[in-house]
Amino acid sequence: MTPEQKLENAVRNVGGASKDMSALAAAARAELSANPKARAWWVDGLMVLGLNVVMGITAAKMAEWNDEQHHSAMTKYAIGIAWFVFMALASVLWLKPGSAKQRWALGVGFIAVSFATIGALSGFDPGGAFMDGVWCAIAECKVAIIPVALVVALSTRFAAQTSHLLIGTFAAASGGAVALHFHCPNGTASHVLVFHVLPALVLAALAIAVRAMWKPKSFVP
Amino acid sequence: MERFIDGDATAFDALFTRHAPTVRSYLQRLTGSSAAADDLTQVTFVSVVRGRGRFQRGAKVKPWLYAIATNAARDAGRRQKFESVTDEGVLPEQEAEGAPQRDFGLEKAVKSALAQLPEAQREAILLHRFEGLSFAEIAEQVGLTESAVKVRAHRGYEKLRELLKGVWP
Repeated sequence: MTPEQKLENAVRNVGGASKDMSALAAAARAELSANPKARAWWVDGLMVLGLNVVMGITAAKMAEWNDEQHHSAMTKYAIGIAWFVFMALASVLWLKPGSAKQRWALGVGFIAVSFATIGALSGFDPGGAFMDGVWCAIAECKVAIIPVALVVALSTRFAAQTSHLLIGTFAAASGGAVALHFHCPNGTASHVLVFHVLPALVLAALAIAVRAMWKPKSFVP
Repeated sequence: MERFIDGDATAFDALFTRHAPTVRSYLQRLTGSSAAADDLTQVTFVSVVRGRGRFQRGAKVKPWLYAIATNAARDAGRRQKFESVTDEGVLPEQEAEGAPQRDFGLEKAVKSALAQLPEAQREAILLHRFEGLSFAEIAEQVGLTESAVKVRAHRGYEKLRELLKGVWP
């Protein structure tokens, strides 16, 4: 036996074997008989999408409409549609199994829509106190908090990575972003960046921190 | 796998019989503990049942199973440290009853060296060299690039060589 074969054997032997393999299957068999029907990943995605749409529309209907934020009516609606498209895709695809590339592409999408929003601002500054800005951030968080909680809860059903939670939270925050897009009268870049975009990043950081403390129900990727 | 996803218990039994022993061996190498390997094998297959809706039909089963086992071991490792080899290098009883040609001294050294590797490097080496997964398959399952996995494995091999000086060929 060559030294290499000896070493290979040693590593393989470190693996060992269980005395009763069949006993190790008992819990899985019980789980299978309790839940014979598999739940497809996109079912949860549709649930998140439904909640995001309901929260976004409810918030949009409750507040007063303002046009001062926007450069033109065309950019106002084009960017509103871009937020909706991002919300629809991200709400479902954050859960998609497989490569993280698609999720990072959605992250780029979030940045692109945010920058497009800032690029199409009117520059109109209604003045007002710092607290007026804080109210925008609070409104966005209020709209997003239930969908973010749902995203965190659903992420415990698999071995969620940071990218899953980041995109799931961005999708949840986009409902609030749509509402603010149509209702906030402030057209300055600093206001939108700090009080409309930054809350989404803060919510994502919170979601990642909360999820890290939660024991997952399953370790599937 | 398709039949198992649709709830066929006999298909699950076939999957378990085929893959559980190798998954368990991998977990024992990864954790260095026989008891932890048993627990994690159970957790892995419960996860397989709970999360089978996330299996991409047509994909390979083996890399998916190893990814689940690795995730379960990482989580358990974060929550509690596994038992480690004592200074005297005592191996579990069942291993001491093995065939006479086994080199227990070498096995003890290997076990101790594997335990000293950083978790990520240990996973890359075990999955690639001893479980036969390609770097691309490992990368896909752990959410890294193929080159990042290769770097981890390369660094792990270097450290393993250093730890097993005089034994490593």
